[in-house]
Amino acid sequence: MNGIDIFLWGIAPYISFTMLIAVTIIRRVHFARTWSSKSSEFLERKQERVANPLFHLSILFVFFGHVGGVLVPHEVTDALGVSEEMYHMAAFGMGGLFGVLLGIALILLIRRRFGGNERMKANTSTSDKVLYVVLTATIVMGLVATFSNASGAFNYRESLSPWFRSLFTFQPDIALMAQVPLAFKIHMCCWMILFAVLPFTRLVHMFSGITAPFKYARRKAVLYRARKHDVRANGARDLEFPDAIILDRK
Amino acid sequence: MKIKAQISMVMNLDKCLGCHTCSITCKNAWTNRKGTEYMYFNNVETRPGVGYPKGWEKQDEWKGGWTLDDKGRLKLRAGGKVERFIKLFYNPDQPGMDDYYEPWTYDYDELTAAGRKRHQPVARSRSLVTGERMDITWGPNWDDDLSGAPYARADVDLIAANAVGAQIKMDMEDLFMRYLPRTCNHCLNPACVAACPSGAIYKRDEDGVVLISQDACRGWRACVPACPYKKVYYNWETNKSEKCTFCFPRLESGMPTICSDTCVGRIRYMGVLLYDMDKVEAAASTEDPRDIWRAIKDVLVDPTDPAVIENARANGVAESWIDAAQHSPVYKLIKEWGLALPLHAEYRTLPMVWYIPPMSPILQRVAADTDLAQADEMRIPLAYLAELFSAGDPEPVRDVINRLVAVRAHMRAKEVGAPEPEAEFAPEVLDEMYRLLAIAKRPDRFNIPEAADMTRAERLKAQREFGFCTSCAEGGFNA
Ligand code: SF4
Ligand code: SF4
Repeated sequence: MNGIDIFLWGIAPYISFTMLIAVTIIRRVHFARTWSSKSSEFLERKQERVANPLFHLSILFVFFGHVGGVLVPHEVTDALGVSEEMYHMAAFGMGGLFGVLLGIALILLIRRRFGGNERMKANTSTSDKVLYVVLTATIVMGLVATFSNASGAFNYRESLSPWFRSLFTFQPDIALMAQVPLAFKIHMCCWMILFAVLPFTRLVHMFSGITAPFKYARRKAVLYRARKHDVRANGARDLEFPDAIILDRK
Repeated sequence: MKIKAQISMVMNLDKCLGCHTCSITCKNAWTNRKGTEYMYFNNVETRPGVGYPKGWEKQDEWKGGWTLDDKGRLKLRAGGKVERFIKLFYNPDQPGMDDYYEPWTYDYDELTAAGRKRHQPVARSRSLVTGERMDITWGPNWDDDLSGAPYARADVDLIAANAVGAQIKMDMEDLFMRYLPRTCNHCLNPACVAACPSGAIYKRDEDGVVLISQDACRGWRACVPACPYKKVYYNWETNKSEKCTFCFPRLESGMPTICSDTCVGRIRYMGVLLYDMDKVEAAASTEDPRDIWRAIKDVLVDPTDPAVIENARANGVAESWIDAAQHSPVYKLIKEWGLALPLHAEYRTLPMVWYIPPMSPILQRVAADTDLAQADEMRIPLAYLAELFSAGDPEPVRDVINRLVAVRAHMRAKEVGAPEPEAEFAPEVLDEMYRLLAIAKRPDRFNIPEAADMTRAERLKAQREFGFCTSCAEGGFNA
């Protein structure tokens, strides 16, 4: 266990999580006016039509696949009578399928954004470019790791997953990472970078995507809001929008 | 009963010159920033014509406004909540930039900076989005004043009127044309508010102005197709939606919106209406679309009724606002005199900008033996106006126009000393109508009470602190 290992598997994940949480909160509270899905459908609709839904749906599946593989301990599936082979077949099959779909969607999105459409070019910010690089690296390395391990020889559920879970008890089990193949290790580094830059990019919209349906489902159709709430004590307007001040129609 | 106050506008289409001053002053005040070039919070379209954006009235395509479900309950035409969430990733009902136009500028520098050449230097067009040269193939008001052109023939209302047998001809001698200025209607049942998953759009409690919180907007764009009038615009630069604000900082200081204040034809009236919030949903759910405008009139209550006043006070409506509602030019035009109608009430959003339909010259074919033209003899076919203002029912438009004709007949009789013609209204009322409609003095056109819960200092401060700036500290773009 050398210094690099300690940094990568014992310190970097915490830097990454800290950035993710702290910057997200700071941006939400102080820079809410920049918080947006940054949709570009207004500028380009033809290619978005396939690429965007495909990307979002496949990434949802990939996300839940990761939750299953990383957060659910080995012992749970064992107790349910799922054999190692069955598990690998299912995980590889589903993960591979949605991973490939995700890869295709990503290529379509890259072509849409960087393929010479002048309007898209005008709409692409530096943070978008950084995001595309990091996201592409993460997805590509995820695919490489998955397909390089088609045989299932490397069982990540005995090393990677327990290591990841050990992060949450603040006792990172760095030794577990020793046997992990390089592709998986790079994939780990990629998500750490991704999480750290995420709150600076348009990706913050995913948090709204998670909370909005719940808020929307239970609210009245037409919202009323009193002015005294949108003028703050110092006279400046409308920097926050606490739900408590929404008055219902009835 | 739950009484609330609403700032409302009436436009007297007879007097609109189509000068676009309103659009220009609005643009200078609100949408002169990057990403907003294509936005016209106020636009003036030539009708018949396709309007702005192109064909905005085609609700089958855009899915704007509300419909009734099988059980007669209101629902957004765009679909249920689940359906609309799925559409977040790609919304087929979303207008794109080309449905409006790609904004451009000209290389003006070239005119002064060009070196010595054999030919005159020219300022060529350049896109304001991409910065590249572009050929201009469509723009705002592309079809301005082009009655009879293909754009006019593509008018949705014209086609609809003909479909129900109106036989509106577009031959040279029958051509007609009018201007239709449009802003956000600050609806009582706004579809944009209902469609927003973030709850960023709201109706202000004090004055009914519909606003989008620039902090709460997440750029889901559900409001854009949901507004049947296409009066919410997506800013592709800040990635938030923006809409007409009814110049709320001006309203708070007791001033009319900038479009109304600068209107050259003096066609705009603004004032307070009191309405019964409890009746809104029922009115919007009126079964027959032709009856909706009447239902809206029922939602608007008499501000001199003691029960209404008491309830308004209990709901926190300020005394100065109740007084303004009792002296409201808008209330007179809509309720007392029945001169105004809402635009496309069948969209069920209960719009709060109403229109006095235009009179027009007599058709030549009937001119010979006509003294003062009656509604049916006028150049603009009633069936066409009916598609715009009363869901296809010509009766309400005919009534309004005949009332306007009565004012003319009364004034003519006065002028030439003829006997007073028979009319629905007393001569004094007709005189008052004449003063408000024809003379239209500024103090008569506008009666807007200052915001009751703000000090003068706060109101003035607010006037320079509003805005859509994403990078400024607090408040506006020039705070
Ligand atoms: S006209 Fe204005 S208030 Fe009405 S639905 Fe459209 S944006 Fe909303
Ligand atoms: S300023 Fe008045 S007269 Fe001129 S186009 Fe606008 S509404 Fe019509």
